[in-house]
Amino acid sequence: MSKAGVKVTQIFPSYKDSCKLTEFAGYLLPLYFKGIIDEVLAVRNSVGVFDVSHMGRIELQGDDASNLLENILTISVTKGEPGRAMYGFMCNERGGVVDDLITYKHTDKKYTLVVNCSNKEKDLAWMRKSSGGMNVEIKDITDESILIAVQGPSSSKMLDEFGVGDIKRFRFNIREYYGNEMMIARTGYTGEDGYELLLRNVTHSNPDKGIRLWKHLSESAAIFSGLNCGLGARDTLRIEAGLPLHGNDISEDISPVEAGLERFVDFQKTKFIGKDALEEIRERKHRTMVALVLKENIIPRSHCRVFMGGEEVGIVTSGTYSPVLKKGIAMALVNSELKKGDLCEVEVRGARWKAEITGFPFYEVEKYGYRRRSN
Amino acid sequence: MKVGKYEIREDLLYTKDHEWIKIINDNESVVGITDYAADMLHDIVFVSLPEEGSEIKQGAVAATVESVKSTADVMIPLSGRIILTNKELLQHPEKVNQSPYEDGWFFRLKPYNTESEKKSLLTPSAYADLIQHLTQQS
Repeated sequence: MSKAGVKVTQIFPSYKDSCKLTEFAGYLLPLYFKGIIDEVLAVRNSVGVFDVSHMGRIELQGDDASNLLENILTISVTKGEPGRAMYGFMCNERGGVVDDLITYKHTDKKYTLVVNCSNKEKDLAWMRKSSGGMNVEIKDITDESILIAVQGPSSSKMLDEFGVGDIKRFRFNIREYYGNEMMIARTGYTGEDGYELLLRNVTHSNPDKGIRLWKHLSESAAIFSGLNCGLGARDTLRIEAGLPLHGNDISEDISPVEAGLERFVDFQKTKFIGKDALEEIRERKHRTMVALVLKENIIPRSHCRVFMGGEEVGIVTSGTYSPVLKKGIAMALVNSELKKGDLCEVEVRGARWKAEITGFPFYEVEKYGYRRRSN
Repeated sequence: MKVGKYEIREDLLYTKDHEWIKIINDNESVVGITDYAADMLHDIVFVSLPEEGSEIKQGAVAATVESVKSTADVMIPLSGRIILTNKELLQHPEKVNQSPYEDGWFFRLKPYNTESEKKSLLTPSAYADLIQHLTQQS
């Protein structure tokens, strides 16, 4: 039984008895099915299936949809053609991140946005406030759709039946699943090749097609030695890939420029909320995001302090055990003088442990991730 | 005996922090963490052990266990001197998950005040009640 006030996704009944559950951002979600390490390795070596229906989904429609997005996003949506999926930020006036999101462009007048679960209400309010006088409808479609991620090197083969072969990275197509509209995007949050499937018209009172899709994808994954995966694997995978989590590595107080994500900020745009502040931060940048690999058998966690020569130089924003490296790893926000190859120390449980500054992603790109040599 | 899926051995004593202790004789006891603790931690990846010969007071931290998502301290159930540690766990920490009551033991100690301190430990049935209570809450 779920506690009062805790939400579940539409397809929760189909897996609730086969996983360890955890509460995250107001939702009861799978922490793991078989085990975090097994699930991480399944995604790196074959394929994993995740219910990510807790993620916020927002649809924008109207003549001014593009105008609104040009004003609130750090990237230019008008430059992208229909069928593009674009990662970027909604920033505040100080250059801090209100949220990071993927914008799926259907036409100049229609977009789907996928935002963080814990920020959805804030994002909706921010967009409504910013769209005063504009002709644009902002609709929350989270409770009338589901989102399933299929990630890993075998994902294309596994989804062959849906005709995903012609979908390029950060592009999407619209398909049909038993009469319902299904958006298939070649995007993800693991560093691997993979897809996210957004199936429309699945509600809590009528979840059948969603449950059917989840069961089908789970069974298909098993054929490819894949696994159902939970949030534990999802978080570990995204840290191994060096992908930021809002609230940890980027926030209202940590700008994309400091987090090393300047490539998702289009300074050539004449204006967008936060542009002036971001230009200033770029000029006098004093913090930067680095990858730390622990030299000893210790796992750094967020908020651990980072030292160099006895002096405090920064803080861990995300940390975990890497099943691929078999070491403790961390993303840390440190003084911008620090560079790759430098040695530093991370304070864990009152003691300081040696770590080396490496680069993102943490794994070897020849062996893992979407850029790996195809096998 | 079993509470839900968790095994609780009849020949051990327990702490409310989920350590077990096997009192072999006045000079030797073995310590580990329970099936429930190992399952809660899940996927243990690093273990640190106390130094052999070190003396540790009841309830103080003797070892640490790290899993992918959390870290836990292992407290010593009885004051004593560490006589042997299970160094196998440094290479194969997964043994704690696989075999918490056998291959996954942490250390052997010579307890100092077994009789007086033993009173604070839980019997198998008292520990079973605790696990019953904890599993009903979730």
